[in-house]
Amino acid sequence: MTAVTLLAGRVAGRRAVLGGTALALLIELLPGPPTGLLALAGLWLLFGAPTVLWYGITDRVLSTRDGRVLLAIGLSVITAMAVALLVNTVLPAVGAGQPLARTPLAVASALAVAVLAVAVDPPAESLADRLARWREGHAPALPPGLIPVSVLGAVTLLLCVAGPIRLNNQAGSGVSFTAMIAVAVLLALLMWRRRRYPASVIVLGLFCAAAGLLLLTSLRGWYITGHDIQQEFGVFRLTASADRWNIAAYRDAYNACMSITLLPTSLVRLTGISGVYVFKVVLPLLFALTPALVYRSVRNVAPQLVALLSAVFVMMFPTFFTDMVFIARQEVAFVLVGCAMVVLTDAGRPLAARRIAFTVLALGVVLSHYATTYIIVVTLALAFATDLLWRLGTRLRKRAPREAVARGFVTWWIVVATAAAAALWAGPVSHTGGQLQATVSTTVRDLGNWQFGNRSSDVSYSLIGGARVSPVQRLTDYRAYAVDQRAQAGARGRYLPLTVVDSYPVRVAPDEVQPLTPLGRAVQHTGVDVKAANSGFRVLVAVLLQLLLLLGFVTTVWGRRKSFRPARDQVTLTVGAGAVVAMLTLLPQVSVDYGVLRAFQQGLIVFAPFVAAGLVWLCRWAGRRRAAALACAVSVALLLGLTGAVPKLLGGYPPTLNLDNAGRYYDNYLIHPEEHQAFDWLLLRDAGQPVNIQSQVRSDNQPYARLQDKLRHQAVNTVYPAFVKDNGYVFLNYATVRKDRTSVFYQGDAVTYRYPIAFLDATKNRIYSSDGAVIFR
Amino acid sequence: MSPFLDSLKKPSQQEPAPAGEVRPLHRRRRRLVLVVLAVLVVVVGVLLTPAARRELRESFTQMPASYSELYFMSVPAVRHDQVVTQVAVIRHGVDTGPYRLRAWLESPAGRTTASATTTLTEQPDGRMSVIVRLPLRPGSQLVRVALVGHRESLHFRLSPSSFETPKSSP
Repeated sequence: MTAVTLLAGRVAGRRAVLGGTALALLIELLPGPPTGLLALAGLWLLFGAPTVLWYGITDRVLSTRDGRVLLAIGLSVITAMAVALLVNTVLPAVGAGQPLARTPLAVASALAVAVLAVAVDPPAESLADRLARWREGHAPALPPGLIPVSVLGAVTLLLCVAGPIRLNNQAGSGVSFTAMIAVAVLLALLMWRRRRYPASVIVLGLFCAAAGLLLLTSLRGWYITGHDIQQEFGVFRLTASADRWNIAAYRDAYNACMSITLLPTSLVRLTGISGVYVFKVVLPLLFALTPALVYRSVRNVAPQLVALLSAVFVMMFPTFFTDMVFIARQEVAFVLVGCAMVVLTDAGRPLAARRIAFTVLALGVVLSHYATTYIIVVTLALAFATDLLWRLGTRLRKRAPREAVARGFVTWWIVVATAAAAALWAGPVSHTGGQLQATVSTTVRDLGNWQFGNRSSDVSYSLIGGARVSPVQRLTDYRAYAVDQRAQAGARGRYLPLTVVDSYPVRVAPDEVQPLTPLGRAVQHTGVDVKAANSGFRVLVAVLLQLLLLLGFVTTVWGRRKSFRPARDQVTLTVGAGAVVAMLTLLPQVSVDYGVLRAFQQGLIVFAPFVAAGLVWLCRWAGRRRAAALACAVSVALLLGLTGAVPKLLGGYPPTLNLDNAGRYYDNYLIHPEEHQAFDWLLLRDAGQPVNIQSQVRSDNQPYARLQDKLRHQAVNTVYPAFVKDNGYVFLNYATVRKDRTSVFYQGDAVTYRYPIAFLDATKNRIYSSDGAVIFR
Repeated sequence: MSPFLDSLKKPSQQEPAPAGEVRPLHRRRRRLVLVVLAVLVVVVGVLLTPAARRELRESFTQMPASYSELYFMSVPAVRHDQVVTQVAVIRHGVDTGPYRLRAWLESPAGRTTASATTTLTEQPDGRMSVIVRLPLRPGSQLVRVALVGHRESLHFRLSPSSFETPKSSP
């Protein structure tokens, strides 16, 4: 067969995909296409067609159909980033100044699809044949459970969209609460019917449940809401507004993440979806695949129950549905890590092909997020070292020759390739490794001085974390820091005199607590302290998760009655991931810069099956039949408790963003229309003149972004009295105006304090006032 | 029939699949059409109810927030023994009736030295502006403005520069 015949055969076998791609390209090139049509065309070019084609290739790597679909989506994400990076690199060299405009991106994406189509063998049965078979009235029966899971999943998603929008419209939290219950019911259905439903239906159900939980948080607020996501959106705007990614425009680690620069720019350009909704909806939906990926990776080696519980543990961990939607770069990276775990645990395909696929996915993580990469490199290195020791121990014990002991999946060259790619990307390519160097040097310095206090309070959740630093102590430390900064700045700082500042003392504000509901009061009457029970619950669950991990690991590796037989690399990677979490907990500074809870969330992608196995082992006392039901019931109860549904039912707990218009995240991160309008007003003041502005509000909104552009060096992100200057504007946000509360972020912790507005009244003019924003000058 | 020809048979010509795996299409289609029709009837019924439409709007669209903005349009200035203060109010969202605005001068000890209250007339664009003139009496140092019955309020300290030509913005 000649090459031409081969190509012609492959093109003919891919008529549907290539025809769809040609049509999508045509729509993209039309001037002013209808919004819905453009969105469909863009999604097909970026994800649809590449996923169909990658699905064919992944047959060489994975043995399960649902695993192949998930992996194909992951590879499509890498393809989208790689194509945009290629276009962004090549076109400027030939004189095109805006390589990320719609036309070049559309053409490049279509070309990538064509190349993939030619490179891949067509399927044995074409789409046209399948359609013909369907038209003739004979199609395979639907998989069991597809209809109930689809219907319940769709209803859950609808509720999870309506809930936060109603909260944004101040219309109450009833729908959000119902949505959360719907998520729990969907998961309970999957657990109940786990023996009957195939993996593909379970994957669909897990995706809907995870997407629902994420949307309940990500859709809060009409603008970009959250911590890291504000800066992520800023670097995305930098790329999108120039139609070109240029690291020199803002040399920062954020700007070196293709997941928040090139990927969203491609999505916005090709689909017409606004950038705000790419960050609030599209990227969280992508991340919602992670629990399904964990399920698939565990299912490759474990029974259905352990696999399902593993996925539920990943999504019940509070970081999953509170913080992850505010860290878009890590959302993308975690999807690729999940894909890598699916490849690692599927022993049904040749090792060499799987190792190559694993490395490609690791390189995708390098492009997506620097910190996830560093954690992966350390985890892989520790896993490889553990594997070496394991093999050595086996050889000595069995007195076997070296060749007789099988090697693990992780090889030295996987570790070296990932580390080299990370070093290359952060070093010579982007020159953005400064944060890593700063973290390492601070850690080494503090270790040298035997100082271990420089750690986030999150470490107190750990069994080895030690005592928590009190908010009063943190605020005292912050004041010392402010005084030090003032002294360094001297007269240039133009701060208001410390004698004036000190006459308005700053005090830590107590946590907001929801009032007890009638049910909560009834429980309280029985003698249970609901408030103490609520706050103790989280600490208890944190301890429980760690104990379950240890228990599951011990009983699975050394026990006689194992819940599942893990792949050796799952064991070595768990050792690596556990060691990384321990390092982040114990070492100074790293928990401030990365966050131990994020590390545990990342670790769960690897060691969730051991946590699940620990729970199953613990439930054995209930008898063989009841153990599974009990484990399922406990996991759903933990989910309802941690997501806030049970505290909402009882009251007596700090309000959460996904269920209330109050609480720390609501106060600190949600932008209100009043604040948006006030920024707009401020932008018109002193037009063209450089002015100082101090604000606690970090906003994506257009006026503030323009303000930041204009006042890049004047904008200060604090209103702490000791940092207030005598010559600038001070912007008080919604929470400060309405509740006299604001927060400082120091050493990885947020400390909320009562803001002395009288201090500003006495020292400045109040020139703008609304019920959600006040501006002083 | 040779094995080669056998492999070329169309799927429809092949042996029927085991019972339970294949189901006549028309039954499924009929059921699907019935379900879609039922859903359509429910959706149309719901959409015809005003209360349901309002709930749906609140669930899937952004409703306008209700609040007011109050701000100085220019720096309060002293002209001919009068303190001239130009302020603006913008209403957003629900109309809660006319605004009343109070402006007064205060001494450093907090004593009111002059005051005036006025009702604001709304322009078609929702913006209201007013110029308030208060007599400058000895000891007056602070200009205060507030919307009566609302939380919004402003203040401005008079300084030697207040006796000059008013600037465009505070």
